[in-house]
Amino acid sequence: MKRRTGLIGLLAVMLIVSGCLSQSTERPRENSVTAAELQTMLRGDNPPRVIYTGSLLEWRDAHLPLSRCVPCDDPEGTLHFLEGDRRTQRVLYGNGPLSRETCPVLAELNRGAKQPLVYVLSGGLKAWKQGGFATVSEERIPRLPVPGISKDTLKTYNQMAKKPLLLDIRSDVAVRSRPIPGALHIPMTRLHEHYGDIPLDRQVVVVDEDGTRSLLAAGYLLRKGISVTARLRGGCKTLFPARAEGGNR
Amino acid sequence: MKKGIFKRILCAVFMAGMLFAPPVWAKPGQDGTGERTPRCLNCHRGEPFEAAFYRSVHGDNGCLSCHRGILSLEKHMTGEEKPRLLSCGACHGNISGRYEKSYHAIYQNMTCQDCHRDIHVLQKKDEDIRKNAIQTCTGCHPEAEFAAVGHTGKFLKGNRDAASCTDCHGIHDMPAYDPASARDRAARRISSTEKCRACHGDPALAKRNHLSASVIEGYEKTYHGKVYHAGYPEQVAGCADCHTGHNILPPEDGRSALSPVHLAERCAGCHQGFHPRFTRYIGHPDYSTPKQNPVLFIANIFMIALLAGTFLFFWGHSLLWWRKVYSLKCRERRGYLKPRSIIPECDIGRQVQRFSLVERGMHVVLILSFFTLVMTGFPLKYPDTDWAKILMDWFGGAAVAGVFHRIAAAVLIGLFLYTLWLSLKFLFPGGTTAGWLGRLFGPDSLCPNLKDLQDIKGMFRWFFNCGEMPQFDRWTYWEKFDFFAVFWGMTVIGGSGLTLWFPEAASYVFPGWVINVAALVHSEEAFLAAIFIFTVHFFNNHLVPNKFPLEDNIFTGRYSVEALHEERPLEYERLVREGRLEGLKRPAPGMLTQFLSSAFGLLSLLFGLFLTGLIFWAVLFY
Repeated sequence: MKRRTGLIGLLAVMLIVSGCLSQSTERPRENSVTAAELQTMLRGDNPPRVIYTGSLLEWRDAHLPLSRCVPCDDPEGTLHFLEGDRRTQRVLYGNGPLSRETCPVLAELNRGAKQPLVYVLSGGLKAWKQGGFATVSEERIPRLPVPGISKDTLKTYNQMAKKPLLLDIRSDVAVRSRPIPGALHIPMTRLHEHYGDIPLDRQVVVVDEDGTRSLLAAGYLLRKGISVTARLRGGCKTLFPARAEGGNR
Repeated sequence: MKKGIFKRILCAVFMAGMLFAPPVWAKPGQDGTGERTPRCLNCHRGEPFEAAFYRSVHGDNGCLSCHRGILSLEKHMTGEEKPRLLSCGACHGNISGRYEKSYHAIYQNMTCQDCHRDIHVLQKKDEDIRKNAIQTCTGCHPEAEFAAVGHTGKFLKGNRDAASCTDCHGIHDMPAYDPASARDRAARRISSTEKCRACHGDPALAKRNHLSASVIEGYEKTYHGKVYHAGYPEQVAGCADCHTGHNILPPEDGRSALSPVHLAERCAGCHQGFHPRFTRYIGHPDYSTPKQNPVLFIANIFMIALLAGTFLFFWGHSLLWWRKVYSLKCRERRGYLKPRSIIPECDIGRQVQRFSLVERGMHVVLILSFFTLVMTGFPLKYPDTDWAKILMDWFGGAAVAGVFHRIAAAVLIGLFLYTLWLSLKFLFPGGTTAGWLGRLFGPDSLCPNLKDLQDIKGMFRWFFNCGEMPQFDRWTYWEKFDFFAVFWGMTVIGGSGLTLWFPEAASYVFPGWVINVAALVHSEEAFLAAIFIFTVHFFNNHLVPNKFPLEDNIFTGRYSVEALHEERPLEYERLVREGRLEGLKRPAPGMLTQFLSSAFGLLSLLFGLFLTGLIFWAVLFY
């Protein structure tokens, strides 16, 4: 009897372990739609309201047709885009994964809803483009050759006689949790309003969250006459490395 | 009146202008003469829109060929109407189609003119496009960090065998991998590793540039390379994981990612909690020369000698045995009667106990765990074979197969320890040490003794018709070899397996290159164990003509007194002399026991032979 129980136990452990290992780790956490599904929804009788949750600059650079911009980390002034019939489906998309924790707009829209009326475009703008669907540009910002430097090169920059100004374009929340000493903070969502705060006599190094937004910001600022000399490659993630991922094991 | 005529003339001139002027919606090449659109130059005058543009490769086009979407000049001049985004794809459709799926388009929303910034003065150059690309790429990707040394550095110094940016990344079709996607991470690793392989696997290129020709082969011998080839690149390191992607330099150079200063950092990308000596692991082992690592070289020679010696002796032994028994069978058929066993009448048809229930259970567990180990381990030994990929997929991937492998290994280690415990109990029954030496070399012991040497000699004499077959006691010399082979195998495979299972922990005891030795020994010893069991053990116990197709007493636990007398006459006589035979007599096994024993035994036998076929297939054809 004990032997049989032991054998069954061993088999159960093996099944559980194999089941756990074979589970996918890339499950969407919100009610998500794929790019193709969104395209079908947009062609339907009741097209959803499509909302971009990044910055206005990025939205003007490229966005989904008929979409509006409600920045997740700074929605003031744009919240009226969310108003209207609560039965209307809304699809939110950003530059990366969206969750209620990182996007208060998403949490607000989901509050009190009995059925899913708010969806997230899985993969965001990138997935839409990869699906081969067209984007619209209100005012494209040319990408100019601004070198993306490593944190080691940044250290050498900081040792120069005239230290460059670090421009931190991360969100307020991100900066509060991990501020960069001595950096000027203008979030990407307000860059178009506050770029005048950047001194014109300083060389500027743009720092973002993960290195994906600084090229656009640098291109924008250069056109405004600001001397952007570099971007931090990999963004703040390289300055504040998380615990080693050890992804293979 | 004059005013009316003036109006009509003005209207006619306007109409003529409308007829002959190129339309604002003109397609490329349809704006007539290929000349500039004069109205644009009224405002956009000067270079590069005039002479420089005409000399450029696009000089045959008018402004509106590219800058479309202006329907009203007035609105355009007041800023109400802006030209649409450039669509280079109208002419360069093939390139544009590929580019739209590429990294720069998807992730950075970059368009053609972001790289082709001199579009109005662009000349067709005869220069090397690979060289020009470096100039463009380093605009954003600083030369000092990406192209100053290593491959691109060599390229810039004139070595055209070295890689430029576009050789690895492509020009317009750099894939847009999503770092959050395991599938994309795997695809990226495959892409970069295959690009490295394309050059470093080219013997002519390697020779020209004084590179080691065995780096690819060396990588494929490692766990990294084997799992990569088995089809699970997302779980192991590819080339760029250790060597990084840019400024690749020899390890002696302090700037190299593989220099002693940075090596631990590279390993820490996947491994945690290791001792600094872990970094002495050899990423591209070469067993053929003592220069790289003498211990690895000697271990390889030893394993080759061990395998060759074992198989040469036992396959020869089996062949001679088969020939002898087969010739005896033929003689029987020709009328030469085999001497019958002389046992008491009352013992004919009676059975005796040979193996206890626990021993039989241990053998069944051993079989199951051994098959699991072979099925989950050999796909990594021969990852290029089709059957390896099928087996891996069947188990649910390399990671899941690895879990099964470890579970089976743990079971086998448990069996090994239990056998050690039984051996101690046998040697020191009830804790008494008196007479342990006699028990160790006695007839009931599995420990080899002098008689075994005489039996080997006698057996070979019998093979060559120079004497009678030796008379055996409870254990024959080949059964003792089987037993000790398992002990040896368990020690070697188990020890090396544990080193591979916990490589970081092992680094606190051994330097990293011991992991290479462990991988070599584990692999070769596994081959020895599997092929020995599936050929020699199977032959000795099941396939020898007088036992074919199956000797099932390891499953039923019993065999006939007649068989005992014939196969182990010394044991029979000893049991009779000591009066223990009666106590060992048992009724014949029931039908269900008989059926299950035969079915399990035959299935195991056939499955083992099937696996042998797969292994030999891999050895011969891959």
